[in-house]
Amino acid sequence: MELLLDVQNLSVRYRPPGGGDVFALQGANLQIALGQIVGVIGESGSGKSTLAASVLALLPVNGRIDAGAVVLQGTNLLELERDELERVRGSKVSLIFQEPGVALHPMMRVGAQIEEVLRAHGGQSKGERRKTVRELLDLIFGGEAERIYFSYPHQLSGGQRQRIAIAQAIVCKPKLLVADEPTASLDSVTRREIIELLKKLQRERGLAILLITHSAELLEGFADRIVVMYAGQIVEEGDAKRVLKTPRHPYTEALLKCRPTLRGSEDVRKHERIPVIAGDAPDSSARSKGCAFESRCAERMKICCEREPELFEIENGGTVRCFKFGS
Amino acid sequence: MEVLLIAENLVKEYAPRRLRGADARVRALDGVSVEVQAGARIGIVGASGSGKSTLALCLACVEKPDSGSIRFLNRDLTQVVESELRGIRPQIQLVFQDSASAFNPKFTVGEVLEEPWILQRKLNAAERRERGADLLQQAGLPGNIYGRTASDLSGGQRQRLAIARALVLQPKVLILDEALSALDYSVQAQIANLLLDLSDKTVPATERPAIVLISHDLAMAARISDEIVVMQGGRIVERGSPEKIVHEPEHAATRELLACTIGVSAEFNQRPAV
Repeated sequence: MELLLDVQNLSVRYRPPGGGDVFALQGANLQIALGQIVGVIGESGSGKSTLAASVLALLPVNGRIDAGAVVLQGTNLLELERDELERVRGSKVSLIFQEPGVALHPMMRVGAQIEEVLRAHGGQSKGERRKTVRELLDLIFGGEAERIYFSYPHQLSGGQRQRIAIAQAIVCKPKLLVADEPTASLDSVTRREIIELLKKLQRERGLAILLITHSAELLEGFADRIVVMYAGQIVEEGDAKRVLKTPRHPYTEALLKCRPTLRGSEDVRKHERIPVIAGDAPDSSARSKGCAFESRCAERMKICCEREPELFEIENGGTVRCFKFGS
Repeated sequence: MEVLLIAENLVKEYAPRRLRGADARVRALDGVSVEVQAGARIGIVGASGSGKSTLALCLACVEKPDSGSIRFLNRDLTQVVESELRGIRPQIQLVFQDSASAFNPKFTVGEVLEEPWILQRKLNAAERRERGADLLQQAGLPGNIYGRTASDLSGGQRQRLAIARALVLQPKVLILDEALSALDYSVQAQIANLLLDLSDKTVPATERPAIVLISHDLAMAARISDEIVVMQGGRIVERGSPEKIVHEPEHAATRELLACTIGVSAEFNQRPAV
């Protein structure tokens, strides 16, 4: 498989005005092949949104890249000038967020707003732009495309607005779409429709997707690989089915368990308490000597507080940051 | 079992701003009846726009229904005057997805908790402090945050504080409108367990609040509730025990919710496109 994105040893810190650096990302490595879907799961503050923003070199002003590279098809995005970056964003890699509505102009029909993206990147006549957008809306909305094209954002539902944001993101045919919690504000039915749309775009247009989410169950049957983040580090990575079925890192296991499911026939465990992860999430402003998850881990060993585990390889090509799998 | 709250045949319409001449009144509730017994745990589930939040607002006397009746301890809430409502509202508490954003940002955790007692002119300062600390503990929050401002807390801690605050005046009914939805699953699990502890059957029914959990998350509702009510288009389309809803769903809306709750199934590649 041809490599599309290669994030190498990326470290990012935030410098809040009150002082006290936050180490949001610590030596992250991530590869995405052409047309591949990679899911990133983790809790608030684990660094998953920082990873998403870094892929487009879009960190907030107090964010600083300490080390590493974000290589997209041979180009390190972190070394590009501003105008070069602007050409790459949208045409090679795009981003969608949780709240699609806020990025849409309230007084402009959504069809025109998608065409505007094409105009900003140049190269097409007005008629061609219109044709491109119509075809894209046909793909995304089917029979409703005509009505949607002439709608204003407030006339659309949250799910429809998110689809418009997706249309804007992919209208210039980027190779990679970064989706940062695109379904977090949607109900479970709409949530699935968006995921199915993303899958369809991957299938029909070969779009590679980096999906950031705290809902691991969305990734089932969707992602090819899963990356698990905790306290700014990647703690597990591997084949999506394997990670969801047999998680190896104690954190991944705990994270997947604290979600009630309705899978088995006996699985309405009414009123049974849900397993929780003991303790609080670590403070990313202080870096511990040992494993970041050590204080909350049910399987901790003596070595865990002495030094930090590296990512150990496990069978079938996955990695786990835990001393259970190497030393 | 004592019946606390009965809503019968509720109808509520909203008139959105007129757009291009369209006269589209939205019927958010279209003849909804529910009954909340003392100590009951009811899950109300449905997709966006199903009317479940409007039902929450009506049950909590925040919105008045256009027609139908809501009786709380045999008083018709649609008929009582505002001054009487003021005595009833504390007994029916509502927690939103983002209740914590309504906290005064300058207030400490202690002030957030003690304010209802002060407004109701109940308890002296020492008693308030003591009961406030008890509630913090009950909500699983560390005692040392009492003097911190609410904005210093994490999202999960703030939502626990919102629940603790809702419990201050010992309500008979606690309504949670998507109160878990914005949180990480690990934090949702903690709050779900808190709700299960508060409403545990070992606590006498008169001392525990009835819980009405409004959510689009059927898995969570099934875990917490004794009865599930499924809504679609302003109507109740199915109701029953969690076992019945999960294993023998009858209505298409229930099956759709169920399919989405389980996760995106492996076979969806073959499903027709959206």
